Amino acid sequence: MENLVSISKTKGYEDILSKISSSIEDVSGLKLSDGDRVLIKPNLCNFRPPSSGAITHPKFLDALLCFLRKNFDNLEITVIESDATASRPDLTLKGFGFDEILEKWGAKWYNLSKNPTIIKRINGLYFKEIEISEIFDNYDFFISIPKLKTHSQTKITACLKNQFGCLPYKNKVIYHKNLDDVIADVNLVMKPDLCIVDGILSMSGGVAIYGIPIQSNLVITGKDPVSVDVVCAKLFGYSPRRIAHIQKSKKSGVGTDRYTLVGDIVDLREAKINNENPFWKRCLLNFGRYLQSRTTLK
Amino acid sequence: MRVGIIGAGIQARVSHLPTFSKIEGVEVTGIADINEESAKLLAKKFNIPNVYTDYHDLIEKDSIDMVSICTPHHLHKQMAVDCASAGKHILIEKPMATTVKDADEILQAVKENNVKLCVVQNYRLFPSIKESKRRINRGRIGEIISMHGYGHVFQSFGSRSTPWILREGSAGIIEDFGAHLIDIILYLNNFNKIKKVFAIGGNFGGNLDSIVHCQIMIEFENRSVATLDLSYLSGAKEIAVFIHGTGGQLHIDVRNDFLRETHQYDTPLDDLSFTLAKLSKITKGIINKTYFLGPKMYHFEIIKSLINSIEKNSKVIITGEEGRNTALVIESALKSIKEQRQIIVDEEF
Repeated sequence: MENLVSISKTKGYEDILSKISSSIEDVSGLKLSDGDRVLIKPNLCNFRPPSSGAITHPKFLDALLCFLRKNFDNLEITVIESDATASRPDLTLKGFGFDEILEKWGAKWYNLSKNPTIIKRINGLYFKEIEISEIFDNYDFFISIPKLKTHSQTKITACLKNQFGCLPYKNKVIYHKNLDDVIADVNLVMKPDLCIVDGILSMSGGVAIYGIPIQSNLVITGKDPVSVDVVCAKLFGYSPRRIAHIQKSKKSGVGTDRYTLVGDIVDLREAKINNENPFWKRCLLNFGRYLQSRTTLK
Repeated sequence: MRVGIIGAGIQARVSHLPTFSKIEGVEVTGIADINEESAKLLAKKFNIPNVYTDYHDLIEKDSIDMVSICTPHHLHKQMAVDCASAGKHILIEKPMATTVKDADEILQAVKENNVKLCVVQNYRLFPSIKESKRRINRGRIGEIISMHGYGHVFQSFGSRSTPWILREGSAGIIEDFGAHLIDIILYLNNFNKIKKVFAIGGNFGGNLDSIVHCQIMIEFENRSVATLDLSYLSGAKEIAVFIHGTGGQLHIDVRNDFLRETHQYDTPLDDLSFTLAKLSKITKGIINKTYFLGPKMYHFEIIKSLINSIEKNSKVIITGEEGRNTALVIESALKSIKEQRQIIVDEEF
């Protein structure tokens, strides 16, 4: 079957429901049955307001839940996220109105770090045994709804990196030395069945939690997380071949980089995301960050 | 287009008349001021044929199309209402009014007589303010959390045109330089509805019955807050606006018309980059001879735009409704200082 990736152009978050609906149709729709257990993983990486572009926008989750409730009966929907070294998603959930949205659509909240885990044996690049939440042994369909951002270490953070947040261990900073390997491994055991990237308000030029918000008005949808990330990388002007976690995920068998573009935009040149900073300024600011990271108190 | 000037003070002399003289197709045919000597002096300097000591004569006898009101703030209302009733289009100095009641009366007269009114809020046309507005609207700093305006300016009160700022019942610095900062803050916050105003300050321990220093706090309906820090007393001049958003920060150095945008994790090289850019901008301004013109250079754009909107019957660049918002903050802040309480706008106006 052809591997499709859809890019939809939105009018901010106004027409998000119709765009989520059409983009899912673009990638040949969803096949869910009555009573299916659906997991949804947004990016709630830190206590940053939705308008900062750092986390999946609550309106995006609201639209997806609305779509699922209107089109399928009796789904058991659970929204998942884990604690991280510097992040407590329970607070983010309450702080920015996600809790009200979950209540409105009858979806459950599940903090992966506060619930039982299981050990899985894998032949991964970093893990031979990986501890994951037991909910991943007990679901029918997994939807990943990441934020579209650049990242100081992995260049981009979109679909593949969103599953890094599915690791229940809180102190995830210890994995950052081998981040690309870990991302490939987590996607082997927790591979999403559908990826819908919130690129309506994206973020560029920072370190994933902070950066410049950009009103890019894009929704990128696909069933293969590698292909979706390849498209996201190209939108920011990066060559996917130079992004290690995409290449490692591809080699591990998570997905493929061969895809067909469908939807509102089929030529990526029409949808390039630019943070408006001139090249010299980007270089200067990055050089400053490099110097600062190398300088220590003696 | 024939134009009449009411008020032969500093604003007419340094801003309005020099600007009108540079616009083709505009003829200033009359000037009115209770001080005939001042009016005659300006009439001679700018070749204005008719001089009046009563502005009613200007609008009745002179067949003018537009009036420029450059008088003390508390006189604006009656003059604007009379001009509108006589069918004259109005260019009015900031603030349009110092109370909401006065602003409403002006707006009513303008509407009933179908004339155009434009408020001279020239700071709003600074490139740095325009660019800030563009970036805010594009979401580059996310949602606005808080805004801080600093207006520490020197006022000698020595010339004829300024002691009226200290008249009884005046809002002092708030209606004077504060009107610029209030307009900038409201404009950059997209004229979001004002919920509450609280102000402290006063005469700095002297016996003048006026506000020579104060801080004003404003809460908006979109949950953002603003503070305005104003004085005539500071030992260092400062005109600046800081805007903190969920996605970044804007620092507008209004005095130098320079905008700095920052996001998390700045390094000393960012500072170097901004310092070089600022130095380059100031140098270019000095070479182009625009640096020392400052806010005066933007009257041209406002007046041209008003003439254009009169000719094409289109919307003016700075509307009376926007001027009403400034009046609302001025009146609320003064009331808050006098009565030492928070003003909840919906309950008071």
